[in-house]
Amino acid sequence: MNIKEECFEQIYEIMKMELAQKGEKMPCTKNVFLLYQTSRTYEADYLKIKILNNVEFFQAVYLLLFNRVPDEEAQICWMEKMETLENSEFQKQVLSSVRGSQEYVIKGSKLINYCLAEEDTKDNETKLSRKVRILNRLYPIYARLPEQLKDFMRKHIKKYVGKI
Amino acid sequence: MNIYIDVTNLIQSNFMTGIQRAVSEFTTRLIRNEDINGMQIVLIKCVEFDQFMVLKKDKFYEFYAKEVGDKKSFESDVFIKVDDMCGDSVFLDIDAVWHNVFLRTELYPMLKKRNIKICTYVYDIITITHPYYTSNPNIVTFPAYILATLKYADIIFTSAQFTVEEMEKLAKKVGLVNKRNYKVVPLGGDFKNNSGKTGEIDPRAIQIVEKGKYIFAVSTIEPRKNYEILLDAFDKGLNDLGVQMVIAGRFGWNVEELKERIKNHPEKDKSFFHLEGMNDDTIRYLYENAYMVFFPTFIEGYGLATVEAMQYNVPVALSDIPVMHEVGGDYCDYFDPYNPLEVVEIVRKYLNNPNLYEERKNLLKNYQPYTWDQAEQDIVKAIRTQFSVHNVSVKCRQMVFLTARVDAFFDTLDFIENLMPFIEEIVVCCPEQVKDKFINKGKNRRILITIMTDEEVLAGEKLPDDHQQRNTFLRCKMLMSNRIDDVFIMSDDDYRPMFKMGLDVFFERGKYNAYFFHDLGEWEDGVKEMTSYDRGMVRTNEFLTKNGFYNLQYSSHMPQIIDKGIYKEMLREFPEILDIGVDEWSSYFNYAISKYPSKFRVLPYLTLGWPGHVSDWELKVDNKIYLFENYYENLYAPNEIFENFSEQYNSDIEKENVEKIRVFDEERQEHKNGKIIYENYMRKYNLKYRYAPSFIFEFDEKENRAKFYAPRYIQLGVNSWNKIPVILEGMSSADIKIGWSLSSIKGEEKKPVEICNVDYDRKKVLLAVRTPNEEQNLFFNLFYSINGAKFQVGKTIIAKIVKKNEREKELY
Repeated sequence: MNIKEECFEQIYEIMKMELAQKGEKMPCTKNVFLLYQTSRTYEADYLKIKILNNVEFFQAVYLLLFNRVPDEEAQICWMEKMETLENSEFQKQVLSSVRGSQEYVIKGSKLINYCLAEEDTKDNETKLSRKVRILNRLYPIYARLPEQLKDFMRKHIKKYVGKI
Repeated sequence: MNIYIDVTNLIQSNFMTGIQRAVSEFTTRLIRNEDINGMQIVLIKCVEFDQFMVLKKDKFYEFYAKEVGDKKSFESDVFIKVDDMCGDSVFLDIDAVWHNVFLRTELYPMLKKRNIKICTYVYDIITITHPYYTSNPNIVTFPAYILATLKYADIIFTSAQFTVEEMEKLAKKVGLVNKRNYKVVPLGGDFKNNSGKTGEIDPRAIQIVEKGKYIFAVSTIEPRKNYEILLDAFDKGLNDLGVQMVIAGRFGWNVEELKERIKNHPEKDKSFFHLEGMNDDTIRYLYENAYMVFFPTFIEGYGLATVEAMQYNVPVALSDIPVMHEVGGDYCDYFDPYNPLEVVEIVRKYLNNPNLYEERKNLLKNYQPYTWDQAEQDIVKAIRTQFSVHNVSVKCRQMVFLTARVDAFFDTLDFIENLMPFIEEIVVCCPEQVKDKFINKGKNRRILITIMTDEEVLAGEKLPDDHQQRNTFLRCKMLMSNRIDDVFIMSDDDYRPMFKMGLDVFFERGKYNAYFFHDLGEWEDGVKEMTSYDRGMVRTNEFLTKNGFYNLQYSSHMPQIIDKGIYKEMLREFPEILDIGVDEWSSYFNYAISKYPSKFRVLPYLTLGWPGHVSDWELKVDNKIYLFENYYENLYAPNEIFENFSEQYNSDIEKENVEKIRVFDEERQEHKNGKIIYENYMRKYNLKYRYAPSFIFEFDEKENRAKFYAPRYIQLGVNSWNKIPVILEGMSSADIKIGWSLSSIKGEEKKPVEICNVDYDRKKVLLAVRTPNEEQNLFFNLFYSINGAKFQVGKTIIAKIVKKNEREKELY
């Protein structure tokens, strides 16, 4: 009972034709348009966008994660890299920029299945377990400290333990 | 009847024009007239996908109708999903909902499955037909909204017949052939004084009026409104006629050239004026004193400003386009929006003929705008007419069972006899070999027991081998018998009523209640290993979707009311049901509701003990009321959840059932807590690392290489079952198994606790991870095995097992 993809394709063509009569273009390719229609708002599936070319990837990231087309500033900024950078490097840079933005947080955007691209956190199992053991032993002491000392302890433990 | 209205975009807007005004006018009236209309309004704000906040409608009303209070006061801590909405309700979409997080292409099918009626007010489809007049985000977001409306809406309201025609043209072009129900409800033309007090008239306006005659135009200056033609008309004749030109409105988007032309016009502030930021009283003053008002727009959905202008008894001239004729009728003049000379000619005509001018003004005295009250009542009438409840009743005194289990049936019968007093007869279909046992035990009961044997029912036909198919086959054959009433309750031998009840549980206010518990489209995702039952659900889903029916799951393990006529109709239309072995409950209800929506009410199920164990499958419906128990003997065994409760009926059973529910809910609550913790973890992880945590298993068949991708850590609730999806990447025909374990960080041996077969057609695997009772940190290990080889550890990450308060986050 879902709307067939053909309906979205048709509507894309209708709008494209109307815009062409005024010398204007659609703000995204048909691929990206269709991907948008079948995705949740503010959510991008990395497995689906990683196969796009640079231009489409750029459009898709903005539409899917921010629900808008890239502004002119962003277009200009990324135009050269779109043409010169190889696919995976371009994607990495765009996603790094987008993920680092306040807009990603404010809009509650979600990049899913991205762990595929994350660096292999190849098992620091021994390191992990030692760190965790230390933390577990320190916790009962920590729990009894006043707030200021808790802050102090957290800062210093984080330096030693780092991110888990 | 509940009317749900999503006002997300209205309350997020800082201005009050066009759509915002219409939504405010409609909604405040619907709230004010709730009792008169007999329609309870539920205002909601979309928070995220399938999550709405219920707003305080009294505060909403105060703010929008009386300009008291602020928007923050609307908020509440009550949240609902689609599954929580009342069965007999209407979802009225009148806001600019294409901006919403919850796309209508997702929301509307969910509402349709619940048989909740969808009414949408479409203001225009200019974004599709004239996309060059729309901003870019709308070009991408609007199509989903309009296609969903065309496909799913039960009533489409529009302000003009023109929009109806445009929508039908579009539907034909995109291939949406379903019949649609339109109702034209013009927007109201009675405007209140929004400022609430008499404001000052801007001195510039007073100067203009004192200077002499002027042509007036009001709106945001954007390409669609075609202000160029007015400037052209002014330059090509109006100025020579001694008529001033006044344009009131802020600059919109994409009008840089026009902006320059206006700013640099040689007659600017002499005989040509552009006014911005005027208050309502100034605008009113300018309307009242204008010689003529012009609307040269290229395209409109309605033209509310036209209606506004006509009320000031000032001659109005409109673009010669169909929708303007619909709004202006014979009260207005019309001109070609591409020909400025026609504008000049209209003005010249009236200047040269004052009598004609007075005639036009007199005609306008008869103009009665459509009011907002009328518009609201039109909507209410349309909803009432379309979805009225028929005052019918049914006679239902029979239950029908398919069973071979004598003891189980009679144990359940004790509950039915005492707690369902309206049941007078039970028809049992059983194998020939147990017929006598049923007859003997069935003597001297309050309820008459009628026996039919499988052999009688089959009349020589062979039973299928598969359990699911067998059940469906027998039940369908049974229904052909004259011994089955026209309306009956279908049940199984382990569905026990828990409290005394009447027929209103099954048939209420003229409608059959249909109790669902899941969605067949999502069922396969939630099961680990497929049983005969699950395969039946997959077949049912395929059958329903292939034939264009909705696909909620109605095998809710509780008795349900069946209309025999509709069931037989389904079997006539789809005789293959007997061969393919679909679920007899889901096929019937989805078929029946699609064909006879006005006869059914779709409600969340009422069953305790389905699932028997929270880990059996992923819950979709959070049912809060239990009237039936799906009896599982093993739940009453020592150390199980109901070990101290009676298995047989007794006079205190209702009291016991209250306690049973409490115990069951407690266990469910821990599972729910686990879900909350997992969802919070996902949210926080995304916030911290800027991507959502996910698990992926990738297998490269060529290189025979497998790999797990996982987040840096996972957080789970204590003593809970967590369904963790693992996405499958790559393709393979190899025999692959994946497994998981939770192991101590002290370094115990790792081996998989649970193993799942990987089926690449299903695209993901669900790991049912059970956590221990105490808060602690463990290793979460993921394993894989290819073609029967020994299991290898694919990935190990930290698993933080926490209670709902999550104290660990302080340290990490």
